[in-house]
Amino acid sequence: MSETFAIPQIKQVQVKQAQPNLQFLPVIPGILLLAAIGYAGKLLEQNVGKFAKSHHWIFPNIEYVLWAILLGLAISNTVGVPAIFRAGVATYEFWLKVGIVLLGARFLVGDVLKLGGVTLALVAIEITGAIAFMTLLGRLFHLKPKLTTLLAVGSAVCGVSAIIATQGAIDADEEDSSFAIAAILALGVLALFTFPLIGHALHLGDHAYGLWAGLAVDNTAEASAAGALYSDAAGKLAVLAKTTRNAMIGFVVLAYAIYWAGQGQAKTVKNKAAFLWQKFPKFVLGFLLISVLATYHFFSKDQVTALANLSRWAFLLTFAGVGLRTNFREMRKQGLRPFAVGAIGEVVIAVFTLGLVIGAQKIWGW
Amino acid sequence: MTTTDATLDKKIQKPSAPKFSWDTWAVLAAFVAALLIRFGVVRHIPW
Repeated sequence: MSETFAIPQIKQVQVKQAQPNLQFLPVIPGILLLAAIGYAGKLLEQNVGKFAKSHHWIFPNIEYVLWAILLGLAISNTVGVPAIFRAGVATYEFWLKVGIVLLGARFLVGDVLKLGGVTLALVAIEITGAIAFMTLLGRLFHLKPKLTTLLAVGSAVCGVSAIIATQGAIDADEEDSSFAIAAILALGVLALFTFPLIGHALHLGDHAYGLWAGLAVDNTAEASAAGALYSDAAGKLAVLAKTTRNAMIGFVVLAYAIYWAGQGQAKTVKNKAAFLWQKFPKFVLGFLLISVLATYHFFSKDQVTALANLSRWAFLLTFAGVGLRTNFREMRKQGLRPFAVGAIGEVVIAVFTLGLVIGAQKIWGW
Repeated sequence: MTTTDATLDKKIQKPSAPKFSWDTWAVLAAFVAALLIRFGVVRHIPW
């Protein structure tokens, strides 16, 4: 996770272990595009409802999150993202992580420990169940074993980043990674639109819905967006649950690396501690540290508000990027079988985690 | 080995500066922003 960076269009997701490029100039146009789309989403949220009301039209209240994603999707799937913007659009994951770290200011350590404990237990069950089910499904559909591993890791832990991290660790083909990434991204977009509807239909509370989105939606950006689409509180919980899942990435990738090395099909991991540290998402530590600082009143109330607002701006750029990097035409080219396995797996995982969350809701009375 | 080769060899062996991941840069950027807000350089972030 820490070494990787998802890129905007599937064709370009050729699993390059991209290092940060400190030549800032090429990323500026794309960052400006993210900001423009995000801000347009915010303006649309504020004005479309007012306009519809003044004309006595019935129009649903659409949040800025959805507007930003829809605008991005419209551009990506009609005119496409011109080359000059692509490097900057690819920074959307950087803004996501900045947003998550800053969001830590809105969590007191006690809350993190309390929610984190429950979340950790649910995450452990979700990861075990998801890996077992996806492995079984891959065998049933006669997918290549390493492709099955990539799909299992992608749906159990952490979406695109986990797939890229695992691809390097188990020496999987780049083509397999592209298949797995395409399936995970396509299903993430579907989840964005279906999860809030299901949540409302089942009258899930913010707490339960946020946990569910964080447990079931694979990519961090989509999980955060699916949570934020429901409510601000659900968005916070979705980020917490997803961050807990992200923290597990090193252990899962290490286990798979050891397994495939045992099969003679991957390099042996010599220093396991260094491997774990390399794969550990550092933004989780940043999130916890900001949370500790906020708990011990390092920031005043106004400063916490300012940090929370800054976090929202960072997420706004992320949500614009989610739309811009999704190109349905490119996704279709990746083939149906991995997508079918991913889709069946995701539906089962979504139902399974929904059951977990509803069970936990009854036990803890959220 | 000629002097030029030795110099070249030295240059190649010279450890490169540590490269930070995007993840680490994101954490650093967030902390710089948090400190700017904490010490009053940036006072208000509107939403």
